Amino acid sequence: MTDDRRIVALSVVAAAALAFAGSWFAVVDHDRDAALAVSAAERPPAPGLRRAPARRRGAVVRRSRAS
Amino acid sequence: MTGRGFRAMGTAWWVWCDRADLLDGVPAGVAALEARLSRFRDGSALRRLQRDGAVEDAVLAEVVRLALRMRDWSGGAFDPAVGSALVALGYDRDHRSLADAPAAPARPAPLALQVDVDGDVVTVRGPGALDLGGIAKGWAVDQVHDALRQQGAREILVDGGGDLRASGRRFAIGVGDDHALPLSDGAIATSSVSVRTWTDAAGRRLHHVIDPATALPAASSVVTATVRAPDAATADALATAILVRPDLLPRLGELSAAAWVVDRAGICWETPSWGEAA
Repeated sequence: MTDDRRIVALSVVAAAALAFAGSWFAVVDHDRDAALAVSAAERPPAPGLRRAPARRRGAVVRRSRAS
Repeated sequence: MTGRGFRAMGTAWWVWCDRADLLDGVPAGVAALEARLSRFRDGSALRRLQRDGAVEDAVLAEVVRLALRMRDWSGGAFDPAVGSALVALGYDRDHRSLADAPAAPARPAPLALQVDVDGDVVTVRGPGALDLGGIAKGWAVDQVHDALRQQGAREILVDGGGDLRASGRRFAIGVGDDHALPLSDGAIATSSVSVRTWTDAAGRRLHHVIDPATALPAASSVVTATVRAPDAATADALATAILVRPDLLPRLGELSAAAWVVDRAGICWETPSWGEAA
């Protein structure tokens, strides 16, 4: 392989590596932003509250509702 | 267990107990309470109070005294003096006939009604009007429960339009779409800004839960609040207060209460003691 070909090959490899790294960081940034967005949306209305699990305990007798 | 359903206070009631013979008098008893406490009934004690500035009525005095106690505990998040704000927003008649409500004021007058209770006498001074809608139904649920208990019933469940009081037996009570809570001795009540809503002449979507600080419909991060408390009147008032001031949630333990709420994103939250059996 001539020096010119070696330089071209290295350049192609370097460009590919840079493109991969750029896309990877873009994904990381996107994931981080998405994670921050979810945590902001899930901020509890007051301190000390926890997410309520869904509890299905069979048939209910009556239902509490706003009226 | 025998049940009896009827309508009162603008909603459906259902009462169960282990003494069927006691149920016949319940609808008339609730109707009598409504006749004294409703702001939509001519001649009610509440209407006479608004007209005369003072009225002697043991039932009204007891409910107002309790409402003032909840006002003080909540730092004004719950306030029975919101009647004039509701009227200013067009809610001056039964909710089902609000189709032609006028345009609501952008900056309503602040609440300035002074309310006092001395014995069985209630007095009001200043501009404004009382509204007991955030507590009277829960209080009536408690009255039905206590009356049945005093007459000998041991297993009781009273449901006044979703405000519930139970004793003597474990009942599974539904909350939201897929949540259930066992209740054997206590009460559960729910308030939401998504019911009793209407659109005014300016096209604004309004609801009946008033923030006393602004005299406008509450606009907090909580849209539905369900509260478990020892009695239905307390649960009813707290459910309303939390829609106005969610920062009260960490203090509910002071009143042996717990809550399950839905925020504007539709996420359900609960206070740490919510899941404990009551």
